[in-house]
Amino acid sequence: MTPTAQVITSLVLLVAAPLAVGVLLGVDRKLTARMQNRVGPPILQPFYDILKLLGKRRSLLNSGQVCFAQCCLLFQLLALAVLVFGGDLLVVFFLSSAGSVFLVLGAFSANSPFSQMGAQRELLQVLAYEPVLFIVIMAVGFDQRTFLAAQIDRMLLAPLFLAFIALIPVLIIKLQKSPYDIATAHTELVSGPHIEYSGPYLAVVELAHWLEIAVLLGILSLFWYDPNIWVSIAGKATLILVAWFVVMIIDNVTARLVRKRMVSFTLSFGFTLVALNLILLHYVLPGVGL
Amino acid sequence: MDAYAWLLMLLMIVPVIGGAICLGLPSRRWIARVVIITSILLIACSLALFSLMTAGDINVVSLIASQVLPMGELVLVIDFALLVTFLLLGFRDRSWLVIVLAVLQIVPLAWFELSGRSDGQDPALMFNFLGMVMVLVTSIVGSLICIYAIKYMEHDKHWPRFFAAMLVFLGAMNGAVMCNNLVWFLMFWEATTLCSYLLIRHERTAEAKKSALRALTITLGGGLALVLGIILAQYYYGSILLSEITAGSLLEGLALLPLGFMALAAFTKSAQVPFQSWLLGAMVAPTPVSALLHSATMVNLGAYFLLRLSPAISSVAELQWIVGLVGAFSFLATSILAIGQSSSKRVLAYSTIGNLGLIILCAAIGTTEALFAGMVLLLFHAISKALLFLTVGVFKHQLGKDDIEPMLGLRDTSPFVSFALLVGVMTILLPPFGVFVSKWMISEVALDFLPIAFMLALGFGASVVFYAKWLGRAYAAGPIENRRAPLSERIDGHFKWTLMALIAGAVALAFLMQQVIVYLISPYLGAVPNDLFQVIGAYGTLPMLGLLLVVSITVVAVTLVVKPKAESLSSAYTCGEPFVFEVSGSYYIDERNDRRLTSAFNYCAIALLAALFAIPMLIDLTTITIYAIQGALP
Repeated sequence: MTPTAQVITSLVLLVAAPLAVGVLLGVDRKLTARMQNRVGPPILQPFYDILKLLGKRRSLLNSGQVCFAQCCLLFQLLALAVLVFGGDLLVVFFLSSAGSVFLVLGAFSANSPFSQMGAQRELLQVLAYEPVLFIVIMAVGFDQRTFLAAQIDRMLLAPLFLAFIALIPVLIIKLQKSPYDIATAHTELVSGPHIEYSGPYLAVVELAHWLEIAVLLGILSLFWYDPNIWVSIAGKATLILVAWFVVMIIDNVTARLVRKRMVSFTLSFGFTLVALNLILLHYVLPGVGL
Repeated sequence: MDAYAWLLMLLMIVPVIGGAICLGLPSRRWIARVVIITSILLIACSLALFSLMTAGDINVVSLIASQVLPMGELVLVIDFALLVTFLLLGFRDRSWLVIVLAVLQIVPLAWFELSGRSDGQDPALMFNFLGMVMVLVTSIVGSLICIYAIKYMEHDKHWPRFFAAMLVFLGAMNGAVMCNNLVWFLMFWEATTLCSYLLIRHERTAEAKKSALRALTITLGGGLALVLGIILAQYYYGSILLSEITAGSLLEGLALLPLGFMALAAFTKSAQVPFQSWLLGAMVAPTPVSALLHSATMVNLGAYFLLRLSPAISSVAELQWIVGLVGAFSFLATSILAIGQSSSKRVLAYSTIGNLGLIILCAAIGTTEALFAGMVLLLFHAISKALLFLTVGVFKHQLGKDDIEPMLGLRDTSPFVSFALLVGVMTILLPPFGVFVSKWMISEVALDFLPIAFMLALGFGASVVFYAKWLGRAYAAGPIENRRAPLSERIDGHFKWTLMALIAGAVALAFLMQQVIVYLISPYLGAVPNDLFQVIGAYGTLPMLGLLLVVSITVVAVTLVVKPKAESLSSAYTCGEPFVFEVSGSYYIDERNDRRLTSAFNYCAIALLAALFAIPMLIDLTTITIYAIQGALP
């Protein structure tokens, strides 16, 4: 591809990725409803929600709350931009992590017990998934000898299969699904960190969440690579859909865990899998001539 | 002596003279003037040295002992005077440990000096750009802290001895980073130990005395390790010059012991696990002292020493792994422990130990990228940490406590303090500021040290938690009476301008990252990158400046645009009940678990330190055995 074509592709991806996340969220709601014998909302419902919110009257608690929400959106957008332009995965990680910090600060800045507890729980989620995400990125870097998304030119799923599995709990947390819907726990915290946002500002926070999911799905999609671009795209899409479907099944058959269990399970599960994977990759496979 | 030599001498002597004058002055007004004049001179000298060396394209200034007339023979006299002082302090405080540690240093050092083994080793002073980073940090950040202390200590009764110790501390630090001869280095090293003891003990409460004694004991133990390291270095390498040791080729077996002892000394100075207790105890000292110990002086010296020794340490795989693991483990352990702390000063103390652990990790890895990351972290951590400590100090000055819980609603009661806190935490935690750049580089180089990468993963996650928790508390809307309170009493000029200077420095230097690299860091590393991308180019590129601009413009624009109208303000959702509530923070680790975790971490670290000495001996034993077997075979 020429440089211009590359830039255009990246820009298209930057716009398309969050939209795709919106559609996926709609499908997710529909399928979940069907699993629970309900009709469920239309597939485009997440977009209707955002549009409706944008048209509402502005209402806020204080200006800090809004600033933090917008910073959250900005950092998730930057993270996605660095990713689709083929940038450094570590920078993507740190930028997205900064986005989460701003979400937490926004939640703290409202004097509501739900919001404050949601913020504390969100931080525990950060403690649960960030180390795993980081170490998976390190494993990718170890296997590829580069952190640049654009330079990954081999299939990662085979050598890093266990690391890929380690990302499933991370996806569960980011999608706010059972058993890890700790922060937004709808039955007790009424959507936790998001509760004190309304109207257009809630739309901002929602969009930031879409972008955050898009970043994680983008990292998941890197695990599939094929020289043929169409096969590559099909493979990446399948990978994302399969991972999402697994998460949805887990969501429907489990109940929420307590906070401590989430942190200890996610960390030990993720670290063990990635460590096993790296030992296999470094010692065992070269030993048997693979 | 040329201009460089004069400036180096001034950087050492100006603060010492300033301190001496403070001791003799009865009036506070005059002491304040002397402190300000000394600070200005110090800042001017350090900047002049930097500009001169940069303009002259000189990377290293070496001076032989005879060129440094006022110093020459004084070094030994001062060295023994310091050790005898420690001995006397040991007698006064009735601490046998201190007495034993002092005697154990005096005897070997006297034997070493009298036998003339250290004579004529030159150049005694060798100043490079690693030293330049340290001198700039010590002189500028340290001076700002001294100016801040003029206001902070307004109710203190013992100004002369307080400011004398503060200023001499700066001079000792500046001196230490110029030394090439380790005996000279030792003198400044012990001087910083004495200054920190005096400053921690300043308030003369029982707790202060106890903490000061603990700090003295641990850092004197480090001094003993340094003395042993120096003597063994002469024995194994035939030289006590840093430049000779670092140029050493592949070492093995017992010849690793001197480096092991020096690393041990650095660990005590930088308060790495298991030696962290002295730095935590040092929190009883007035806040400017904490700021000085944590950002501008003392703990940096250990990290600096290991960065200087990096070529030697990183050339031996065993040393590299052990020193690197001690650093990474300290980062991990302190990041976890910090989550459970409810005192902001203790959170900051743990964070300091962790960040120094990262610098030590960089020194152990020792590649160009790693040293780059270590130096960037040294610089930016110092600025942000000074900012955070001084911010907490303003809070403590007003309310008399430094707990995180009462900071609830600080945004409403004291916008300036909470803004300073925000900048401090953002620059130490988030992209695109300086500390982030070094975290990024450390992650890149950790690729060849994967077990360490797991420690980093957990440490990074935990540090997000404890900083965000604290900042969230300050930015939470407080109790209703807080919000109705008039906006903050006037912040005193000393506080305001030092904090402003640090805020400006932390942010502006992030913008000038490329210039910082080209003019301050690459002269030491030898590589002269055309731009930031080449340094980072081995792994990936990112237009940092663009990123910074986008972030800052957006943040500024958003704050300007979002001016809520009265009618759009609402109140929080409380299920329709008018109840008043106050949320308290979560700390997760209670005191019992904190103690358990601390001792578990200490045991792990002690095992690592034991390995530091056991492995060279084992290697030697194995080699001897193999030779013996080979000799026995026909």
